[in-house]
Amino acid sequence: MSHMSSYKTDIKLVNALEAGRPVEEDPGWDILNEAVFAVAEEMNLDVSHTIHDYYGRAILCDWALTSPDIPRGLGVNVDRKTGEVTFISDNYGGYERIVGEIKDRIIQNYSALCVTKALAALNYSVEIDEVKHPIEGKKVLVRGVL
Amino acid sequence: MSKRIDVEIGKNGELKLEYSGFVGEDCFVEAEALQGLLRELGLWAIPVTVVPKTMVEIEAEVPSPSETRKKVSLS
Repeated sequence: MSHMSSYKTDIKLVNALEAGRPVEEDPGWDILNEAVFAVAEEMNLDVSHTIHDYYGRAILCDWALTSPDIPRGLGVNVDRKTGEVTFISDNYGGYERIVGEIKDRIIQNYSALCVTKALAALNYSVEIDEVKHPIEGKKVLVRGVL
Repeated sequence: MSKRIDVEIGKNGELKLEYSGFVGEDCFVEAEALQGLLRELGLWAIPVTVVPKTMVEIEAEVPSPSETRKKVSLS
């Protein structure tokens, strides 16, 4: 029998923490780094470690993405105790849409990278494709064949 | 027949998976393995829907058994 299923996803880097190691050593850390840089390249964003709030105060982050369209930036942080991934930004002044778009793309890229790696680990030959859906936006299609 | 897993990754990371060419409960075993590997990589996939394929959908995956071939010798 074969089946179809759908999942909602959450990013949480707990493997290294559970083994008593720092979260930076979690396999998900490198994947998150790859996902952030891929989105930066795709959307022409700069990557640093500082975002700003409305008052110009600097906030340090694990990754910070900025561009002229989003000058205060979007920060990505990984909680050192729980491994939870959070996105921070000061959206005052109408930055919700662009911030939401960047956040969605990071999560989508992260998911695609994980699915690709997991299928390859199960010995599948993996092909990746991208399609633009008029309403639902960009979709990543991953096919594993064994 | 080859086994195939098609994954559609939507906005915000939601996943839609289609398993094809699996026999019996094998697809559920593979789904568990995949979910475990994703978790190791930091991606927690929480099931929303699981729908077994209908006989029509399964038959569409498998080549028709009615077309059996027989070896013949030409002399």
